[in-house]
Amino acid sequence: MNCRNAQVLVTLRDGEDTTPREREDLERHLASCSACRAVRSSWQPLSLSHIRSVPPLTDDDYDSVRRSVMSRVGTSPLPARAGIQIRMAAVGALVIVVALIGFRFDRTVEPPTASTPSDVVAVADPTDLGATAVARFGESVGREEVSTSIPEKGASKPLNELAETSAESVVSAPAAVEQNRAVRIEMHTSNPNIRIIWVKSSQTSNESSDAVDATSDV
Amino acid sequence: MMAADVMTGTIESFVTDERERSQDLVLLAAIRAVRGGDRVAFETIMARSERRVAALAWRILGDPEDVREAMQETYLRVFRHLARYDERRDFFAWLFRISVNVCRDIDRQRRRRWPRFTQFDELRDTAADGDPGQALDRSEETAMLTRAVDSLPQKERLALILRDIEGLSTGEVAEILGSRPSTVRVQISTARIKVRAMLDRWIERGAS
Repeated sequence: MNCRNAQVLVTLRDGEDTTPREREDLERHLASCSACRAVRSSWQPLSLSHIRSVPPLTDDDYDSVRRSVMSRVGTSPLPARAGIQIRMAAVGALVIVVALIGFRFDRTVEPPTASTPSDVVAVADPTDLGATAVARFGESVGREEVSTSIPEKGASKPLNELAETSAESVVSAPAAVEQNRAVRIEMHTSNPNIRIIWVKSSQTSNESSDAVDATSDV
Repeated sequence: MMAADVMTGTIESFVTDERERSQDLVLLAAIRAVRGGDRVAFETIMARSERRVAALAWRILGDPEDVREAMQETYLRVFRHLARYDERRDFFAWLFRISVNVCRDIDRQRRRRWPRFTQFDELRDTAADGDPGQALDRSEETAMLTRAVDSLPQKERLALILRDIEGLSTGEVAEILGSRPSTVRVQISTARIKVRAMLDRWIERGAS
Protein backbone atom coordinates (compact mmCIF):
# COMPACT_ATOMS: atom_id res chain seq x y z
CA MET A 1 0.00 0.00 0.00
CA ASN A 2 1.33 3.42 -0.92
CA CYS A 3 0.93 6.66 1.03
CA ARG A 4 -1.86 7.96 -1.20
CA ASN A 5 -4.04 4.90 -0.65
CA ALA A 6 -3.20 4.95 3.04
CA GLN A 7 -4.31 8.55 3.41
CA VAL A 8 -7.57 7.80 1.64
CA LEU A 9 -8.24 5.01 4.12
CA VAL A 10 -7.27 7.21 7.06
CA THR A 11 -10.05 9.66 6.17
CA LEU A 12 -12.68 6.92 5.99
CA ARG A 13 -14.33 6.09 9.25
CA ASP A 14 -13.82 2.70 10.86
CA GLY A 15 -16.06 0.11 9.31
CA GLU A 16 -17.09 2.50 6.55
CA ASP A 17 -16.33 1.42 2.99
CA THR A 18 -13.20 -0.47 3.98
CA THR A 19 -12.65 -4.18 4.09
CA PRO A 20 -10.88 -5.90 7.00
CA ARG A 21 -8.03 -6.70 4.67
CA GLU A 22 -7.63 -3.03 3.73
CA ARG A 23 -7.54 -2.17 7.42
CA GLU A 24 -4.79 -4.75 7.98
CA ASP A 25 -2.80 -3.37 5.05
CA LEU A 26 -3.24 0.13 6.41
CA GLU A 27 -1.97 -0.87 9.85
CA ARG A 28 1.07 -2.52 8.27
CA HIS A 29 1.76 0.62 6.24
CA LEU A 30 1.34 2.91 9.24
CA ALA A 31 3.81 0.81 11.22
CA SER A 32 6.52 1.69 8.73
CA CYS A 33 5.49 5.20 7.57
CA SER A 34 5.81 8.08 10.01
CA ALA A 35 4.26 10.62 7.59
CA CYS A 36 1.02 8.65 7.32
CA ARG A 37 1.06 8.03 11.07
CA ALA A 38 1.17 11.79 11.54
CA VAL A 39 -1.72 12.25 9.17
CA ARG A 40 -3.80 9.73 11.04
CA SER A 41 -3.02 11.11 14.48
CA SER A 42 -3.99 14.62 13.39
CA TRP A 43 -7.04 13.63 11.39
CA GLN A 44 -10.33 14.77 12.89
CA PRO A 45 -13.52 13.62 11.22
CA LEU A 46 -15.78 16.34 9.90
CA SER A 47 -19.35 16.80 10.92
CA LEU A 48 -21.24 18.19 7.98
CA SER A 49 -24.78 17.08 8.68
CA HIS A 50 -25.80 20.52 9.96
CA ILE A 51 -24.85 22.26 6.71
CA ARG A 52 -27.94 23.60 4.97
CA SER A 53 -30.09 21.17 6.87
CA VAL A 54 -33.44 22.80 6.06
CA PRO A 55 -34.18 24.49 2.75
CA PRO A 56 -35.66 27.98 3.23
CA LEU A 57 -38.90 27.13 1.45
CA THR A 58 -42.37 27.70 2.79
CA ASP A 59 -45.42 25.50 2.28
CA ASP A 60 -46.56 28.01 -0.30
CA ASP A 61 -43.33 27.47 -2.21
CA TYR A 62 -43.98 23.73 -2.32
CA ASP A 63 -47.59 24.29 -3.40
CA SER A 64 -46.47 26.67 -6.10
CA VAL A 65 -43.96 24.18 -7.50
CA ARG A 66 -46.54 21.39 -7.37
CA ARG A 67 -49.17 23.43 -9.20
CA SER A 68 -46.68 24.44 -11.86
CA VAL A 69 -45.56 20.85 -12.42
CA MET A 70 -49.11 19.47 -12.44
CA SER A 71 -50.24 22.03 -14.99
CA ARG A 72 -47.45 20.95 -17.34
CA VAL A 73 -47.96 17.26 -16.59
CA GLY A 74 -51.56 17.64 -17.75
CA THR A 75 -50.42 18.37 -21.28
CA SER A 76 -47.54 15.86 -21.43
CA PRO A 77 -47.93 12.40 -22.93
CA LEU A 78 -48.47 9.70 -20.36
CA PRO A 79 -45.31 7.83 -19.36
CA ALA A 80 -47.07 4.47 -19.64
CA ARG A 81 -47.97 5.19 -23.24
CA ALA A 82 -44.40 6.07 -23.96
CA GLY A 83 -43.45 2.68 -22.58
CA ILE A 84 -45.99 0.93 -24.76
CA GLN A 85 -44.72 2.80 -27.80
CA ILE A 86 -41.20 1.65 -27.06
CA ARG A 87 -42.36 -1.93 -26.63
CA MET A 88 -44.39 -1.79 -29.84
CA ALA A 89 -41.44 -0.38 -31.74
CA ALA A 90 -39.27 -3.16 -30.33
CA VAL A 91 -41.79 -5.83 -31.36
CA GLY A 92 -42.07 -4.32 -34.86
CA ALA A 93 -38.30 -4.30 -35.25
CA LEU A 94 -38.17 -7.92 -34.07
CA VAL A 95 -40.80 -8.97 -36.62
CA ILE A 96 -38.86 -7.31 -39.42
CA VAL A 97 -35.62 -8.97 -38.35
CA VAL A 98 -37.28 -12.38 -38.13
CA ALA A 99 -38.88 -11.91 -41.55
CA LEU A 100 -35.55 -10.97 -43.09
CA ILE A 101 -33.79 -13.93 -41.51
CA GLY A 102 -36.60 -16.26 -42.58
CA PHE A 103 -36.43 -14.95 -46.14
CA ARG A 104 -32.70 -15.52 -46.32
CA PHE A 105 -32.98 -18.95 -44.72
CA ASP A 106 -35.76 -19.88 -47.11
CA ARG A 107 -33.67 -18.89 -50.07
CA THR A 108 -30.71 -20.81 -48.73
CA VAL A 109 -32.31 -24.17 -48.08
CA GLU A 110 -34.87 -24.36 -50.87
CA PRO A 111 -33.73 -27.25 -53.09
CA PRO A 112 -33.59 -26.64 -56.80
CA THR A 113 -36.35 -28.39 -58.72
CA ALA A 114 -36.36 -29.87 -62.14
CA SER A 115 -39.94 -28.98 -62.84
CA THR A 116 -39.10 -26.22 -65.26
CA PRO A 117 -37.80 -26.96 -68.73
CA SER A 118 -34.78 -24.77 -68.20
CA ASP A 119 -33.51 -27.27 -65.67
CA VAL A 120 -33.35 -30.05 -68.28
CA VAL A 121 -30.20 -30.30 -70.26
CA ALA A 122 -30.02 -32.54 -73.31
CA VAL A 123 -26.84 -34.40 -74.01
CA ALA A 124 -25.88 -36.54 -76.97
CA ASP A 125 -23.88 -39.06 -75.08
CA PRO A 126 -23.15 -40.02 -71.49
CA THR A 127 -19.61 -38.92 -72.01
CA ASP A 128 -20.89 -35.40 -72.42
CA LEU A 129 -22.48 -35.61 -69.08
CA GLY A 130 -19.48 -34.51 -67.11
CA ALA A 131 -18.73 -31.39 -69.12
CA THR A 132 -22.38 -30.37 -69.34
CA ALA A 133 -23.00 -30.91 -65.73
CA VAL A 134 -19.86 -29.12 -64.73
CA ALA A 135 -20.80 -26.21 -66.93
CA ARG A 136 -24.26 -26.09 -65.47
CA PHE A 137 -23.90 -27.16 -61.89
CA GLY A 138 -20.29 -26.71 -61.06
CA GLU A 139 -17.80 -29.28 -60.04
CA SER A 140 -18.84 -32.90 -60.36
CA VAL A 141 -17.70 -35.12 -57.60
CA GLY A 142 -18.36 -38.53 -59.07
CA ARG A 143 -20.59 -40.75 -61.09
CA GLU A 144 -21.93 -44.27 -60.76
CA GLU A 145 -23.55 -46.71 -63.14
CA VAL A 146 -26.54 -48.76 -62.03
CA SER A 147 -29.02 -51.15 -63.65
CA THR A 148 -32.61 -50.11 -63.61
CA SER A 149 -35.85 -50.29 -65.49
CA ILE A 150 -37.31 -47.56 -67.62
CA PRO A 151 -40.96 -46.71 -68.16
CA GLU A 152 -42.85 -48.31 -70.98
CA LYS A 153 -42.69 -46.22 -74.11
CA GLY A 154 -46.39 -45.47 -74.21
CA ALA A 155 -46.50 -44.63 -70.58
CA SER A 156 -43.20 -42.93 -70.41
CA LYS A 157 -42.93 -39.46 -69.18
CA PRO A 158 -40.63 -36.83 -70.40
CA LEU A 159 -37.46 -36.89 -68.41
CA ASN A 160 -38.15 -33.59 -66.85
CA GLU A 161 -41.31 -35.10 -65.39
CA LEU A 162 -39.40 -38.23 -64.49
CA ALA A 163 -37.17 -36.10 -62.42
CA GLU A 164 -40.13 -35.14 -60.30
CA THR A 165 -40.63 -38.81 -59.52
CA SER A 166 -38.15 -40.38 -57.25
CA ALA A 167 -35.71 -42.85 -58.72
CA GLU A 168 -36.94 -45.50 -56.33
CA SER A 169 -40.53 -45.12 -57.47
CA VAL A 170 -39.46 -45.65 -61.04
CA VAL A 171 -37.69 -48.86 -60.15
CA SER A 172 -40.44 -50.22 -57.97
CA ALA A 173 -43.37 -49.73 -60.37
CA PRO A 174 -43.37 -53.01 -62.41
CA ALA A 175 -46.78 -52.51 -64.04
CA ALA A 176 -45.84 -49.28 -65.54
CA VAL A 177 -42.40 -50.11 -66.75
CA GLU A 178 -40.92 -52.26 -69.45
CA GLN A 179 -38.58 -54.83 -67.96
CA ASN A 180 -35.72 -54.05 -70.31
CA ARG A 181 -32.33 -53.29 -69.15
CA ALA A 182 -31.31 -49.74 -69.17
CA VAL A 183 -28.36 -47.73 -68.18
CA ARG A 184 -28.89 -45.25 -65.52
CA ILE A 185 -26.12 -42.93 -64.62
CA GLU A 186 -26.27 -40.84 -61.61
CA MET A 187 -23.95 -38.01 -61.12
CA HIS A 188 -23.44 -36.38 -57.76
CA THR A 189 -22.55 -32.79 -57.67
CA SER A 190 -20.91 -30.73 -55.03
CA ASN A 191 -24.36 -29.72 -53.86
CA PRO A 192 -25.78 -32.66 -51.90
CA ASN A 193 -29.30 -31.61 -52.84
CA ILE A 194 -28.65 -31.97 -56.55
CA ARG A 195 -28.25 -35.24 -58.39
CA ILE A 196 -27.97 -35.55 -62.13
CA ILE A 197 -29.68 -38.61 -63.61
CA TRP A 198 -29.10 -39.89 -67.11
CA VAL A 199 -31.20 -42.85 -68.36
CA LYS A 200 -30.69 -44.72 -71.57
CA SER A 201 -32.38 -47.87 -72.91
CA SER A 202 -29.99 -50.67 -73.83
CA GLN A 203 -32.29 -51.77 -76.75
CA THR A 204 -32.71 -48.41 -78.40
CA SER A 205 -29.42 -46.88 -77.85
CA ASN A 206 -29.73 -44.42 -80.72
CA GLU A 207 -33.15 -43.07 -80.07
CA SER A 208 -33.37 -43.18 -76.40
CA SER A 209 -34.16 -40.08 -74.61
CA ASP A 210 -30.87 -38.70 -73.72
CA ALA A 211 -31.16 -36.06 -71.24
CA VAL A 212 -29.68 -34.80 -68.15
CA ASP A 213 -32.00 -33.84 -65.47
CA ALA A 214 -31.18 -32.01 -62.41
CA THR A 215 -33.30 -32.98 -59.51
CA SER A 216 -33.28 -32.59 -55.88
CA ASP A 217 -32.08 -35.55 -53.98
CA VAL A 218 -34.76 -37.86 -52.70
CA MET B 1 -38.18 0.26 34.37
CA MET B 2 -35.33 -0.24 31.94
CA ALA B 3 -37.10 -3.18 30.38
CA ALA B 4 -40.18 -1.00 29.92
CA ASP B 5 -38.06 1.66 28.20
CA VAL B 6 -36.57 -0.92 25.91
CA MET B 7 -40.02 -2.25 25.13
CA THR B 8 -41.35 1.27 24.45
CA GLY B 9 -38.40 1.97 22.19
CA THR B 10 -38.95 -1.28 20.33
CA ILE B 11 -42.62 -0.50 19.83
CA GLU B 12 -41.85 3.04 18.65
CA SER B 13 -39.25 1.70 16.27
CA PHE B 14 -41.73 -0.88 14.98
CA VAL B 15 -44.41 1.77 14.50
CA THR B 16 -41.94 4.02 12.67
CA ASP B 17 -40.87 1.15 10.41
CA GLU B 18 -44.47 0.28 9.68
CA ARG B 19 -45.29 3.90 8.92
CA GLU B 20 -42.34 4.17 6.53
CA ARG B 21 -43.34 0.92 4.88
CA SER B 22 -46.93 2.04 4.42
CA GLN B 23 -45.69 5.34 3.00
CA ASP B 24 -43.59 3.40 0.54
CA LEU B 25 -46.68 1.43 -0.42
CA VAL B 26 -48.63 4.65 -1.00
CA LEU B 27 -45.77 5.93 -3.14
CA LEU B 28 -45.62 2.69 -5.11
CA ALA B 29 -49.38 2.74 -5.63
CA ALA B 30 -49.14 6.32 -6.92
CA ILE B 31 -46.31 5.36 -9.30
CA ARG B 32 -48.39 2.50 -10.70
CA ALA B 33 -51.44 4.74 -11.02
CA VAL B 34 -49.51 7.32 -13.03
CA ARG B 35 -48.12 4.60 -15.25
CA GLY B 36 -51.67 3.42 -15.72
CA GLY B 37 -52.74 6.83 -17.00
CA ASP B 38 -53.78 8.63 -13.81
CA ARG B 39 -51.99 11.98 -14.03
CA VAL B 40 -53.53 13.26 -10.80
CA ALA B 41 -51.67 10.57 -8.83
CA PHE B 42 -48.44 12.29 -9.76
CA GLU B 43 -49.23 14.92 -7.15
CA THR B 44 -49.04 12.18 -4.51
CA ILE B 45 -45.58 11.24 -5.74
CA MET B 46 -44.50 14.86 -5.41
CA ALA B 47 -46.03 15.30 -1.98
CA ARG B 48 -44.28 12.16 -0.74
CA SER B 49 -40.84 13.10 -1.97
CA GLU B 50 -40.56 16.87 -2.55
CA ARG B 51 -38.99 17.73 0.83
CA ARG B 52 -36.09 15.38 0.26
CA VAL B 53 -35.58 16.65 -3.27
CA ALA B 54 -35.67 20.23 -2.00
CA ALA B 55 -33.15 19.46 0.76
CA LEU B 56 -30.77 17.85 -1.70
CA ALA B 57 -31.08 20.70 -4.18
CA TRP B 58 -30.61 23.23 -1.41
CA ARG B 59 -27.39 21.54 -0.28
CA ILE B 60 -26.04 21.45 -3.79
CA LEU B 61 -27.20 24.82 -5.05
CA GLY B 62 -27.61 26.96 -1.93
CA ASP B 63 -30.08 29.33 -3.51
CA PRO B 64 -33.86 29.19 -2.91
CA GLU B 65 -34.76 30.29 -6.42
CA ASP B 66 -32.47 27.67 -7.94
CA VAL B 67 -34.00 25.07 -5.63
CA ARG B 68 -37.51 25.82 -6.92
CA GLU B 69 -36.27 25.63 -10.50
CA ALA B 70 -34.48 22.35 -9.76
CA MET B 71 -37.56 20.83 -8.16
CA GLN B 72 -39.76 21.75 -11.08
CA GLU B 73 -37.39 20.37 -13.67
CA THR B 74 -36.72 17.24 -11.61
CA TYR B 75 -40.40 16.33 -11.40
CA LEU B 76 -41.04 17.03 -15.05
CA ARG B 77 -38.23 14.62 -15.92
CA VAL B 78 -39.57 12.11 -13.40
CA PHE B 79 -42.97 12.21 -15.09
CA ARG B 80 -41.49 11.83 -18.57
CA HIS B 81 -39.31 8.88 -17.62
CA LEU B 82 -41.49 7.17 -15.03
CA ALA B 83 -42.06 4.23 -17.36
CA ARG B 84 -38.35 3.45 -17.11
CA TYR B 85 -38.31 3.24 -13.33
CA ASP B 86 -37.68 -0.30 -12.13
CA GLU B 87 -39.93 -0.98 -9.13
CA ARG B 88 -37.45 -3.45 -7.68
CA ARG B 89 -35.02 -0.62 -7.03
CA ASP B 90 -35.15 2.21 -4.53
CA PHE B 91 -37.33 5.01 -5.85
CA PHE B 92 -35.39 7.71 -4.00
CA ALA B 93 -32.06 6.57 -5.47
CA TRP B 94 -33.62 6.91 -8.93
CA LEU B 95 -35.21 10.24 -8.00
CA PHE B 96 -31.96 11.58 -6.55
CA ARG B 97 -30.09 10.62 -9.67
CA ILE B 98 -32.43 12.75 -11.75
CA SER B 99 -32.32 15.53 -9.18
CA VAL B 100 -28.51 15.56 -9.06
CA ASN B 101 -28.35 15.73 -12.85
CA VAL B 102 -30.75 18.67 -12.86
CA CYS B 103 -28.76 20.43 -10.14
CA ARG B 104 -25.56 19.83 -12.07
CA ASP B 105 -27.07 21.51 -15.13
CA ILE B 106 -28.33 24.48 -13.14
CA ASP B 107 -25.03 24.77 -11.27
CA ARG B 108 -23.09 24.70 -14.52
CA GLN B 109 -25.28 27.38 -16.09
CA ARG B 110 -25.10 29.54 -13.01
CA ARG B 111 -21.32 29.35 -12.74
CA ARG B 112 -21.09 30.25 -16.39
CA ARG B 113 -23.38 33.26 -15.88
CA TRP B 114 -21.74 34.59 -12.72
CA PRO B 115 -19.06 32.67 -10.86
CA ARG B 116 -20.22 33.92 -7.48
CA PHE B 117 -19.28 30.79 -5.60
CA THR B 118 -16.07 31.18 -3.69
CA GLN B 119 -13.21 29.24 -5.13
CA PHE B 120 -10.89 27.23 -2.96
CA ASP B 121 -7.89 29.59 -3.22
CA GLU B 122 -10.05 32.62 -2.57
CA LEU B 123 -11.43 30.95 0.52
CA ARG B 124 -7.92 30.26 1.78
CA ASP B 125 -7.05 33.93 1.42
CA THR B 126 -10.23 34.92 3.22
CA ALA B 127 -9.27 32.63 6.05
CA ALA B 128 -5.86 34.27 6.26
CA ASP B 129 -7.53 37.65 6.67
CA GLY B 130 -9.61 36.50 9.64
CA ASP B 131 -9.64 38.69 12.70
CA PRO B 132 -7.00 37.28 15.11
CA GLY B 133 -8.23 36.43 18.53
CA GLN B 134 -11.85 36.20 17.52
CA ALA B 135 -13.40 33.08 18.87
CA LEU B 136 -14.77 30.64 16.37
CA ASP B 137 -18.40 30.04 17.17
CA ARG B 138 -20.67 27.41 15.79
CA SER B 139 -22.44 29.54 13.23
CA GLU B 140 -19.14 30.80 11.87
CA GLU B 141 -17.85 27.27 11.64
CA THR B 142 -20.98 26.23 9.81
CA ALA B 143 -20.67 29.15 7.43
CA MET B 144 -17.03 28.33 6.84
CA LEU B 145 -17.76 24.66 6.24
CA THR B 146 -20.52 25.60 3.84
CA ARG B 147 -18.23 27.84 1.87
CA ALA B 148 -15.50 25.22 1.89
CA VAL B 149 -17.90 22.60 0.53
CA ASP B 150 -19.18 25.03 -2.10
CA SER B 151 -15.65 25.71 -3.25
CA LEU B 152 -14.90 22.07 -4.04
CA PRO B 153 -14.86 20.80 -7.62
CA GLN B 154 -18.32 19.60 -8.62
CA LYS B 155 -17.68 15.84 -8.51
CA GLU B 156 -16.05 15.96 -5.10
CA ARG B 157 -18.73 18.29 -3.81
CA LEU B 158 -21.59 16.06 -4.96
CA ALA B 159 -19.92 12.95 -3.55
CA LEU B 160 -19.36 14.66 -0.20
CA ILE B 161 -22.89 16.08 0.01
CA LEU B 162 -24.54 12.77 -0.81
CA ARG B 163 -22.27 10.77 1.50
CA ASP B 164 -21.71 13.02 4.50
CA ILE B 165 -24.74 15.30 4.47
CA GLU B 166 -27.46 13.13 2.94
CA GLY B 167 -26.01 10.08 4.68
CA LEU B 168 -26.17 7.72 1.72
CA SER B 169 -23.81 4.78 1.40
CA THR B 170 -20.90 4.94 -1.01
CA GLY B 171 -22.64 2.36 -3.22
CA GLU B 172 -25.76 4.51 -3.41
CA VAL B 173 -23.69 7.61 -4.13
CA ALA B 174 -21.87 5.77 -6.90
CA GLU B 175 -25.17 4.71 -8.43
CA ILE B 176 -26.56 8.24 -8.31
CA LEU B 177 -23.42 9.79 -9.77
CA GLY B 178 -22.93 7.02 -12.33
CA SER B 179 -19.43 6.30 -11.03
CA ARG B 180 -17.64 3.30 -9.55
CA PRO B 181 -17.68 2.99 -5.73
CA SER B 182 -13.87 3.02 -5.64
CA THR B 183 -13.85 6.33 -7.53
CA VAL B 184 -16.44 7.81 -5.21
CA ARG B 185 -14.47 6.70 -2.18
CA VAL B 186 -11.42 8.60 -3.38
CA GLN B 187 -13.55 11.66 -4.22
CA ILE B 188 -15.06 11.64 -0.74
CA SER B 189 -11.67 11.26 0.87
CA THR B 190 -10.12 14.06 -1.19
CA ALA B 191 -13.06 16.34 -0.44
CA ARG B 192 -12.82 15.66 3.28
CA ILE B 193 -9.09 16.38 3.32
CA LYS B 194 -9.60 19.67 1.47
CA VAL B 195 -12.42 20.82 3.72
CA ARG B 196 -10.55 19.78 6.84
CA ALA B 197 -7.45 21.65 5.66
CA MET B 198 -9.51 24.75 4.99
CA LEU B 199 -11.14 24.66 8.39
CA ASP B 200 -7.88 23.98 10.24
CA ARG B 201 -6.14 26.81 8.45
CA TRP B 202 -8.92 29.20 9.29
CA ILE B 203 -8.97 28.20 12.93
CA GLU B 204 -5.20 28.42 13.12
CA ARG B 205 -5.07 31.89 11.60
CA GLY B 206 -7.98 33.05 13.72
CA ALA B 207 -6.37 31.81 16.90
CA SER B 208 -3.02 33.40 16.15
